[in-house]
Amino acid sequence: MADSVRLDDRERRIVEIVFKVGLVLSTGLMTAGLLLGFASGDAASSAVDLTHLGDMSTPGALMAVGIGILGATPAANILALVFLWVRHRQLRLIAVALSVVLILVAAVVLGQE
Amino acid sequence: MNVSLKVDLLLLAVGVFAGAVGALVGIGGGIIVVPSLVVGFGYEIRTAVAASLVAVVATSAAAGITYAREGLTNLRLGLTLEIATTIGGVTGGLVAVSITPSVISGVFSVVMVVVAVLMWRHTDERHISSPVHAPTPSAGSGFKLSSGYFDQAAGRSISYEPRRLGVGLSVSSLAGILSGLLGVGGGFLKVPAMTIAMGVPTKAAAATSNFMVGITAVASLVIYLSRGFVQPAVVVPVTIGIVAGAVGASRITNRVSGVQVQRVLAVILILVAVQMSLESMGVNFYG
Repeated sequence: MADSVRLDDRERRIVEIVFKVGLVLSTGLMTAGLLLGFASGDAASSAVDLTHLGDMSTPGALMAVGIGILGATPAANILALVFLWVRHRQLRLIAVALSVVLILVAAVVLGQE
Repeated sequence: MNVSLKVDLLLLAVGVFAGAVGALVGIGGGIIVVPSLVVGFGYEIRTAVAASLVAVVATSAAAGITYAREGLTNLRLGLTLEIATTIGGVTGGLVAVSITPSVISGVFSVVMVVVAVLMWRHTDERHISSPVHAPTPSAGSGFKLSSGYFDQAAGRSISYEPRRLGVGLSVSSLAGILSGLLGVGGGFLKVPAMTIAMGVPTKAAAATSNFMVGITAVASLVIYLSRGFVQPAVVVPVTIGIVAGAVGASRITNRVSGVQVQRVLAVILILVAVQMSLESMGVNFYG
């Protein structure tokens, strides 16, 4: 029972850390992009294309990377939990988490026109 | 003040408001963001939905830090329900790029009124006043959905064992579809399902739903992203505002009573239901 409680605590600690890192990085980049946009007069209104960052202005690229990191944060949380559960041999939890990751990957594939 | 800066500040204000409300009731805030962007700013609905989905991810992350620290989030239950929700989110996202959600709005407004009334009448505090003694997980099973937390407002530990997982999965699937279609988190469906049908205390349900909505939003967001509907000029001010609002509100969530949280959620459900029913009768918020 004590092991179970400790694992619960570790899970929550991991989620807290991943959320914090993802949020600080993404909002930091987005804020920097927004402020740079104001300073340079670039409204950065073009649609995000994460595959062509080189074509974007610096403010737009910063915002795009920030949005990308934010979008990746929930998936990073799941993967971090998977690593923890692998160490603790929580096979059914791993299967559940990887199923969700698989669906996210499918969404990326299905989203392509 | 130049126009661009004024618009950005207004978008920021929308974000702060949506983030605060979203964090308090365990929804993503998209319910506020989408109509605000379309009605208030005249953005095309799919651009608004895409911005809302990014904001939902941000709300989930911002509030999720505090929820995880306070031990309110049931990660195992959340991920289990996410299997159904992400499938729904992908489906909703794919449908959304070809149809408008006005037909669903009419039907869904009725459902939300029913759920809101149930939420208002449901005395969850009475339900959790006698903590459920969760069974000890069997050795090596590695898969328990029961959980617990210390309720600061009540001053005692609460334990619970979610039941009726099938109902939770079904509702989560529907919540995912609506999330992908409308850019809302779907917490307004998942929280009532978890509290009423699954016996999860309101605060744990709100925190678990908050964890889930971020993953669900990403599932449909990638579809909007690949179709070019994610515009940084719209997304960024709203997202920064929503993070500020969510962080501020989530710090007080565990110090307010569960009944208050439920009632705030019920009022929001009624408001959104009115909005959706007006829309289905031809008063089109989305232009």
